[in-house]
Amino acid sequence: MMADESAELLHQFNRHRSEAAFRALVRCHSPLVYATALRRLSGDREAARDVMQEVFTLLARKATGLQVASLGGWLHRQTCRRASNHRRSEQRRKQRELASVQAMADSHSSAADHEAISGEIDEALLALPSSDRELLVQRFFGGQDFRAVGSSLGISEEAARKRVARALERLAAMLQRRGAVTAAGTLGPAMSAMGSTPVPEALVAQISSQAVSALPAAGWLTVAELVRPFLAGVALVCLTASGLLVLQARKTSPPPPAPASAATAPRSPGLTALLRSAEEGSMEDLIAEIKRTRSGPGHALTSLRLGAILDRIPLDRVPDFMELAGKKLTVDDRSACYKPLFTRWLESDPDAALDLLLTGRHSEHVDEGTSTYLLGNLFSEWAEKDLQKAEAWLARNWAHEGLDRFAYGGPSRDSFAMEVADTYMWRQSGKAAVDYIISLPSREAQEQCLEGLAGTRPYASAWMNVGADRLTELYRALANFPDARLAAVTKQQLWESLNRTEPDKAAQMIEALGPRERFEASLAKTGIYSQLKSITKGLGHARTLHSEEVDNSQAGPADSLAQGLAAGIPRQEVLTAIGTALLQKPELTAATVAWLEAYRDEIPMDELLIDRIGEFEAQDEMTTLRLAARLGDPGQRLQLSRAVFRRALASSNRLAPKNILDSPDLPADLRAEFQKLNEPQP
Amino acid sequence: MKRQTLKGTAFLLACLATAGLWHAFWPAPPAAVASPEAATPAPVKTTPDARALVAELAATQDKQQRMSIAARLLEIPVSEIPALLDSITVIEGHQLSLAAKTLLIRWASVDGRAAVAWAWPHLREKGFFPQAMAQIGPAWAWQNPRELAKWAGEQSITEGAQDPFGTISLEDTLASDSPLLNSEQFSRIAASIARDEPRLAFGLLIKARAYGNDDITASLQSVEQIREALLAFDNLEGLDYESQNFISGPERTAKALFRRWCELDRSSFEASAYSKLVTIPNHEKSMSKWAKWREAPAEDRLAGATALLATADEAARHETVGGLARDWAAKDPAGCRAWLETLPGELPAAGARYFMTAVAASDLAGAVDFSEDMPPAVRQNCLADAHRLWRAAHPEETVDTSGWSEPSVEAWEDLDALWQTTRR
Repeated sequence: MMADESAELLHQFNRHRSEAAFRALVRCHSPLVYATALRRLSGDREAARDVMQEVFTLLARKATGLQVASLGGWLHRQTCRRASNHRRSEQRRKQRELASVQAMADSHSSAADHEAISGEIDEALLALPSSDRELLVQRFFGGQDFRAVGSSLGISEEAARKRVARALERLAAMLQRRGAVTAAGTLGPAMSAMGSTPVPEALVAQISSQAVSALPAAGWLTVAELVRPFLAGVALVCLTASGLLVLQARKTSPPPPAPASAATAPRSPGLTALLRSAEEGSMEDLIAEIKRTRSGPGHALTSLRLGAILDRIPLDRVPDFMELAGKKLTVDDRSACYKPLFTRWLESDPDAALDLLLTGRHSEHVDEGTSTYLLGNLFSEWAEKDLQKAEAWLARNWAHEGLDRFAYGGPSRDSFAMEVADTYMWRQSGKAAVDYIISLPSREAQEQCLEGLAGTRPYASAWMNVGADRLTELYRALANFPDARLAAVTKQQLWESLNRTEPDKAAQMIEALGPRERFEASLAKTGIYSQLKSITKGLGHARTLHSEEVDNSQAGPADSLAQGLAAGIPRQEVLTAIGTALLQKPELTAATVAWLEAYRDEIPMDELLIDRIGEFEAQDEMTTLRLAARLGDPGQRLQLSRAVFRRALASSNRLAPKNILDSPDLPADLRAEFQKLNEPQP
Repeated sequence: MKRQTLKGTAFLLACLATAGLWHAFWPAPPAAVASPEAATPAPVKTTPDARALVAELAATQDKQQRMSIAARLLEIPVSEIPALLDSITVIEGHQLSLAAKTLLIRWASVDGRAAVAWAWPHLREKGFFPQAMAQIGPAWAWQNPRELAKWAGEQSITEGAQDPFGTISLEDTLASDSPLLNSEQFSRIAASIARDEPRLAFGLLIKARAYGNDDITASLQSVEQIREALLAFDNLEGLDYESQNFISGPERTAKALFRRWCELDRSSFEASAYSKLVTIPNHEKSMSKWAKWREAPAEDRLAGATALLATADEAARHETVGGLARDWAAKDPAGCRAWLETLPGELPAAGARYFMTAVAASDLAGAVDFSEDMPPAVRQNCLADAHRLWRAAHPEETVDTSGWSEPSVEAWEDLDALWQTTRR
């Protein structure tokens, strides 16, 4: 707010006791008062509010005689005085609230030097001539540019610049006399960093309301009673005299300035203050500015300013910043800073940015979510922009312990590899994706990548976003995968995903594929499977898919058998594939069990069962037991079943053994065996 | 002197003094030529060219410049915002343009309801209303948190909107004249007002049964704020604090507030009536005792463990033995085993699996030997743990089971057979 606006508001308040005008004054100047009070009271927010109330109540009382040009300086002086009184007298201070609001509030942090200089600056300002103090307060605490400062003092911009410089020199000299050695050149940024603290509108309203309502106190009424007849006398004489004057002057004088209209009234000074340009300063100043900015409302303008502040950190000093931020910023503040900071770094030197994150130092300084996913998000962004370099970085750091951290459903390295494979699929081809997966050094990573391509991992989405042609090409590329079993499982998963969400694409693929692949596709619809039922259109491009379960245990195997035979595939191979597909289903239905029993002699049943039992870590005990119970070898059946029950007994789920024993389809002989294990005799 | 006399004197004095002043400063007749002030019109503040500013904002990516332009955009009168929003590019790519955000922020700072009333019909269909609310909410909260809370309290959560992922159908959206908020949006609003209006904020959270409010609770910085937030609950006494609902619901929210209270000032919580409703464990205190024990020299471990066990109440003794065994066995398995074997009754069993977990991968024989003295049920579980840990570390090694008890050999062979199925 310009000085002339403050003048107009003061005028309106003095003249009409306008609470609206006073509130606008409080809104404009409270950031300066609040920041000063917080500094002087070591961040005690409650006390700072009390002081702010006192100062503005005083302003309401003294408004009549105040010079507008010195309002900022006056407020600063009064705040310092009242804060000092407060500190001396109050023992009732409430629990300290080291809010992130205050730049200088961290009295227990290692910012002791910086705090000390802030305190000294306030003290030295009080000792400066009032004209100098006013200049510095307007320029640095009020955030006014030189033109505005000059305008309020009736001097040119250049003159204002010189006077501010001289005032700064005097302040520096005064500080030196007090033993705080600092150069005039660094004082400006330091003072800007001390600056002002946004004050919520609710508090502004409360302060102004209380200040104005405090006016009609007992003393005021008494004076008012005397002033009223006095003013009446003045008015009577003035009225008479002015009538005479009008007659004499004939001409009217220029009209008085119109009251501020809706179009020109001061608007959202808090918001404007938020967008004040960021000043140069030390890393400490920067941290202080971040704290102040983050204390503002959490909308886009606050983020914009935070981004502008962070842009001032040279990339080679990011580690220093993190070091300092680790000590002085809250976890939330750090989390908010690191993402834009590293995103900027990623643009110029992704290797260095990710290397730093990989060291894990950042994880000590941010919350768990940010720590885990910051690296992942940046890697993903990098892969999007420059896949080859991101891939090379991952290969170079494959064994780094920093990539052991769990993210996106697996160790980071596997998840990052899935990101690369997904990007290949999305950007290049299914073959490129499969070739990349083949090149990976670990089977776990290969499995995760293939699951991603097949649509069973939530963080991989290429399969949904490419057309049927690309999916068909992926399907064919899987034929070259060295581990045929893994490739077969992936194919099944892909068909299941497509049946559930993209049946049209599945149909197009089937059209394009040969008889053998069609047989493979039919296996996904054997037994129980999910199919798309309906789609609800959401907002924007969003849609919600609803699927339903279909039990195709009866007709499915027969259909597949027919297709397989029609494709010229040997009967035993067809039956084995159907058996494998049925056993992969999460539930063994009665019809499935009947089919398996019917073809037991034609397929290597125990082998298929053992393969499936081998996945016991990923499924519940009862599912594994149902499989084990179907084994043809009695010794193996008993041994594996017992082992599953032993694991259930040792598991953290205390209900697991009971659930097994209560299961109605548990064979009697196994139940008896398990009872013995459940209550072992000495 | 009487009141009326004083007033009369004041009136007369004023008349005399004013007349004297008029006489002294009576002006000369005005000159014929107009003064320079009269010739020069007073400077008139003009509204910035908003469209030009919007174009400038879209044209630059420099943050300082964007701030400066946005600051100028904030100067336009609120009355001009609706028309301006209707005439500019509000959506850029996948988000609202900065100009649109700035205008909504400006608008919400003055009249949040009006900003929402514009945003809902204009942005709902393309799914950008939540983004608009992310600007309007904080700006409104900053200006008038009570009014924002009141508005949010008037909104309802439809069944579809209770999905924390915000999957609201297009059909429901278009059919609704007022905004549909999901619980996440309620949480955001609550977060933006929590520090100023804790009671209203937590009232919203309870209404929305919102998830993951820990950061909102953590934002409360004083016991007074916590006490105020607790006023939002209708029936604190009737809540089930033993509920296993760890995700959402009033009992979880209330418990989080109590925990936060204890973090800020445990003694005032314990002195309050609330402490009778729920017990908030003093982890800090117990952690400190444990930390001291962990750092104690080897020769003091036994005495320290005995002291810790002696101070634990009956219900916590098993847990204490387990914790001590876990830490102790990792440092000194032999010492830990000797200690466990001196414990009475069922206490050695309470530490057995922790002991196994610490030693099995490196000393299977010692681990199995230890388990042989345990009750059969404990022995079984110890062997299951030992097998898992040993095989993870030694997948190829053959195990010599001679000297083991028959039940132990059988358990090992069962478990090993199952493990072998994973290696095909």
